[in-house]
Amino acid sequence: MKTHLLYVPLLLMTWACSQVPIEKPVLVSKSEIVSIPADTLSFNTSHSEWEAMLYTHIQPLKMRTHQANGRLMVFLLPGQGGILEGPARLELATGNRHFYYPVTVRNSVVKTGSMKDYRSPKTVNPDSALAQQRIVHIIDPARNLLELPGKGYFLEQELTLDPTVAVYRANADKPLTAYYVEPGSCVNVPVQAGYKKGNNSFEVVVGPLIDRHGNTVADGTLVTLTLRSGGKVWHLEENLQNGLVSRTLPAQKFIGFDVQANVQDRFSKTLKLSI
Amino acid sequence: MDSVDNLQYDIWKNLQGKRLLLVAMSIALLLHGVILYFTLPQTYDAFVHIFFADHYARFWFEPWEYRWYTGFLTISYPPLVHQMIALISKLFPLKVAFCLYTITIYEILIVGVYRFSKLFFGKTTAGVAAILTVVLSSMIETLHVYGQAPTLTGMAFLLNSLPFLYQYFVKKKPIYLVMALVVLAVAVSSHHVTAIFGMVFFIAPTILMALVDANPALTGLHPVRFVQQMVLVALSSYKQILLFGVLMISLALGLIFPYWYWSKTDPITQVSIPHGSRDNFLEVTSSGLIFYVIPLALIIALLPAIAYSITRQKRYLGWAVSFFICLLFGSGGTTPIPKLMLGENAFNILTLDRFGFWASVIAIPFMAQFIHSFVAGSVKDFWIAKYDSATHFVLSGLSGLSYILFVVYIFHLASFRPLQPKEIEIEPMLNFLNRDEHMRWRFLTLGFGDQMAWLSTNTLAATVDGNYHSARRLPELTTRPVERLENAKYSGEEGLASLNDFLTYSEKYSLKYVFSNDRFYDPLLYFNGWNRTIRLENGIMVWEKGNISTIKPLRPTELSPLLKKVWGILPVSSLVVAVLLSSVYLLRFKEEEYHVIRNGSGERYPKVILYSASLLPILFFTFFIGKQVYELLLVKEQDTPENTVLNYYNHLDFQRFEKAFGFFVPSPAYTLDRYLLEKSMTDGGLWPSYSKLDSIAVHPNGNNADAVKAEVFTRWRTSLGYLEKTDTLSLQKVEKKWYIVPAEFEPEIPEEQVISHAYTLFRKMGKRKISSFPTVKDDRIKKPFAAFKQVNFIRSGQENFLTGEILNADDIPVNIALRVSIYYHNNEVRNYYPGSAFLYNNSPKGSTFFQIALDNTSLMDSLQVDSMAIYADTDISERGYLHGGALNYTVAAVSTKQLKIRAEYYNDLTTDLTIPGLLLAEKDSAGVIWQARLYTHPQAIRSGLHGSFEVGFKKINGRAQHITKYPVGAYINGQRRRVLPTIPDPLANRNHGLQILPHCFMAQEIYLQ
Repeated sequence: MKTHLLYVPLLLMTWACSQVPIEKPVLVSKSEIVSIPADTLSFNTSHSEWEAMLYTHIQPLKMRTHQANGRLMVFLLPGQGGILEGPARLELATGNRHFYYPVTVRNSVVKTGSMKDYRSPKTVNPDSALAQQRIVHIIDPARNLLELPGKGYFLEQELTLDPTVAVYRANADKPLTAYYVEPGSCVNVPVQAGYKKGNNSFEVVVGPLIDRHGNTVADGTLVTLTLRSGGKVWHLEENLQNGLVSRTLPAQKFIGFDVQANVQDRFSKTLKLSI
Repeated sequence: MDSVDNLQYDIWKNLQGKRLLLVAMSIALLLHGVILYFTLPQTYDAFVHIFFADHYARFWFEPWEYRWYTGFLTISYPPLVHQMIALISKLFPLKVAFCLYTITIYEILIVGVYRFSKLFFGKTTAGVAAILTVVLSSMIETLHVYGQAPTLTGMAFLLNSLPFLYQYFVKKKPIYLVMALVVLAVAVSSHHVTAIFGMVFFIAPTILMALVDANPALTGLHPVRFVQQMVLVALSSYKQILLFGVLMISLALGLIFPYWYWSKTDPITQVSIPHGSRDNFLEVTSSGLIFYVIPLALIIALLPAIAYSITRQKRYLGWAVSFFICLLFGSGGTTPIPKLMLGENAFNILTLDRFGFWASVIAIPFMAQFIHSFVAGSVKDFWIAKYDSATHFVLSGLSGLSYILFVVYIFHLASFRPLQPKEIEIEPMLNFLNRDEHMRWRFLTLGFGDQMAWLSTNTLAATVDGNYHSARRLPELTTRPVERLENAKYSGEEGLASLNDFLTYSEKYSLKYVFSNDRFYDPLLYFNGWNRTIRLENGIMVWEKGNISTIKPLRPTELSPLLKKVWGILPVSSLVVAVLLSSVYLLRFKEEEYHVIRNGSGERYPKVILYSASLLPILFFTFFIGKQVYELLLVKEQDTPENTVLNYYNHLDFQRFEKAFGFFVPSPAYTLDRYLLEKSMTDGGLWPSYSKLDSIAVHPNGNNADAVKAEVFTRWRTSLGYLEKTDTLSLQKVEKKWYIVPAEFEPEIPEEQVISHAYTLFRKMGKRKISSFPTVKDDRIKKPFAAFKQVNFIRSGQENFLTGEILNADDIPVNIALRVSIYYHNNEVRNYYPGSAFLYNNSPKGSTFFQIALDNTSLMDSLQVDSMAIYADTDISERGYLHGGALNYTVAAVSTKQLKIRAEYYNDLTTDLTIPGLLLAEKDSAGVIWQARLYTHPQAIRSGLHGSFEVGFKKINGRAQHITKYPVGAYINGQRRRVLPTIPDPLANRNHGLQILPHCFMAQEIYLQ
């Protein structure tokens, strides 16, 4: 009995190793260019239970199949918004057997694309240049490039921007396409100082600071006030707001001091604080 | 009837040992099993082993661990313990897996002690030894304070192997040799140190004892003759010894061969890291307490009995030698003998507390022998005969109670003497590392203690630090006696210097984030260009450095695939084989009475031993507990002026202000509220908010019995260096206690009732598209513009540095990262980074001086400079670009080379200037910057108030050289840029060549800094 029992696993192993050969299904359709979702691919095959998968450049798409009378029909269905056109591979699989068929896929319905308008640089400082490069193209929902009317696929332009400080948009409804013209450096540093009797203090005002195009210099720009009297030096740092900096200095402490403002490498005239 | 009684008695005697063993195992399970999970976070090593286990759980056959030290090989530590925890972790969380594993090992250890003790005494004594193992302080400390699972595993299997080894030498049956070797194999795979030293301190005495027992005639010989004969007996058994030795060494080499391969090919060459176990315990009593007194308490208390028993029989000769050597080595640097015997190198590498642990293990049977005798043997009979049973009962009760209190104390050791920072919730840090690709950079923890290993366990992000110093290979770590960067402040100047290197040269290690749990490091981080990013929900502050490159691919140390497989398979196989063969042995080979031991269960002690060993435990433990209670509750803090001052400063140091207030003369006019208000007016700043008291000296003046003045010299350790301070306090004696007389306090009263300040703050907008792609191109923000105003190579004696000035030419605040690359003649390129003499963040159109230290003159000249380049990378900054309040100063020349600056800040901001600072630049008449220096003032300045201080400044113009022969290329964001022409600075020329910029650290409002 024991000897007979030994045959059981041996038989099972032999049976497990055997495999019925599967013939590669024969593609009946003539054209290798297929339109989606219009076309259907037809195969001759004696085997059943096939699964179909279409591999495009960027995604695998499962296809619906129907089999009857030794013929396998693969219905090509698009992904959401169409399909990325170009060379693709159709895979037919049953069990662990896989067969591949090269095809070229096209969208049967051409959808309207959206225009992409790229700008570089996105931030422009008029201290250096107002030049900007623009590249435009149109892309459909399935990320296929569409031809620009009479201009090929890409339009490239060199632009000179308006020097007015603002946030601009290449596409009005898309914040991501925004580009920026920033203020440049100030051309000079105006400074004024006046005595205020009411609170016995000096009011030192620096500004308005404007760049060479008349734009107000950026908020936060560091303005340094240096006050000197004898060997004593006061170093006051202020950040510009709306082109101006103002500082109140108690008169009893700062009377007789020379005051000078500076921004970057620009210096104001020197004023003496007096009543 | 008699026969029945005898039978019952025999059964009881036979089973008593096993019953005691079961009781011991049950108590251990109940006691340690419950407590371990809660003591685990406070241990020194548990998280390190959990980290290793996590490694194996993730990458079983890949020994390269990239998460610490920029990568290391896990073959640097025997893997079995970690691999077993890794396997259990597939079913349970890692912490639970560690606890389950360790408690299992503890049970095996108890069995090991039981079997080991049976080599010396009867089963009942062995049972007592098993119970003793549950409550022995060295075991408790190893488990609950050190968390050393591998040490316990190694010891558990070593002890279990010894009876087999003994039987092999006595009975010469191969099965015992096989069993000894398979069990020893597990010990080898678990802990190499136990295996190596176990050969000397445990295996050699076992063989010696077995040879004596196998030759009973030896015991009656004169000691000298005994030794001679022993040598002969050993020589006659050379085949057995040789066989065992060869097989044992083969196993030790083969099972963990990759470890030996690593030791040979990549030897540890680092500077020795100081360890408390090497201290002189008489000088450093805290080390003595932790590493000697606590683990060896019972051994010390019962030393007379142990010493008597272990030297009584010739078969114990080897054990006596082992015990006393271990006891001596365990005493660390208290005597010079351990260093002489071990050698300088081994002494400085080994942690010597493990010798004390081994001494305690060897002593267990002898302690159990005495305790058994004291509870139910000859010692008990003596006490009852000499006095009465009540005396014996009281003595045993009090001894037991005092020891139990001592054990309770050890369990709560972490409460009395905090060993680790409080438990830190790690989820907020994991979330931070997971988002926005923060894992692409390395991080560093500060003030985490050993919990840094737990954080590493739970993330795939890498840190430059680590918690297994034997594996460190970064020169910046191995050349300094620093255990970890995260606790650098405990390593003195060397520790902070090492941390400073990493914080400055962070680009080299792609170190971008610091998780700080200790504000002590804040000044160092801030002045080295780190910005606070966010305070996480768990209170951890995240610091970030701008413009750091992501981690570059690093080539792991090559290791043969075969060795990787060996490492992953053999150690675990050793345990599997041991379990299987043990089962086979128990079923087929175990003899009912397999021991042939001539034990001395009826030990009688001389009176002197009997009295001392009976009374010492109660005296020792009562004294110990009493001392702890006294120090905690009853110490007189104000009995002398010196003590009053010392304790006052101690409370100040630990920020116990209510207690500190109690040191002032009680008065209805001086309340706690007033004290705190006065303190808040003068407090803050580098001292004392970011410092720890390093040393203190008190000099009382005057002979008045009730009032003295005391000069107090204090030295404070800060992350920016040491601060020294001298205070004068008046003390007064009131009702036998000394009190401090509050000093007169006149605060500065600001004129304004409310101050306001208009800030311009910036926020970088995120425009990232939410998709599976990391960052779409549209999201990129331009690099802000910057320009070098000047760059100079200055040589002053052996010092070399690049100085200069850089401008933020953009409309937004900028964070600038500078790097100097020197190109040498031999094609070597060395990089250097700025330290604290630089404003890393600047407002729009703001500029800063900088100084970048280079190598010394000898080295640079020997390498021959070809050219140099300075690189600036910019990024938008959201904070740190406001540098202080209104600064005024006068500069006076003390001599032609020495200037004195008297500076005053008026804080017109709505936040304190926590650490007021100045960035000083020395310029010549042409405007060339010769040096730039940072000065910080230790006292904070509150809003609306003034603060003044004096600074000395040493000029170098005239004795240093401005070297122009090497071309210096300047690059901004990777593009070559022209350095602007240097222009004279009229303001500096008026101030003896000095120009000053404010550079203050403001701690309160993080969006500003």
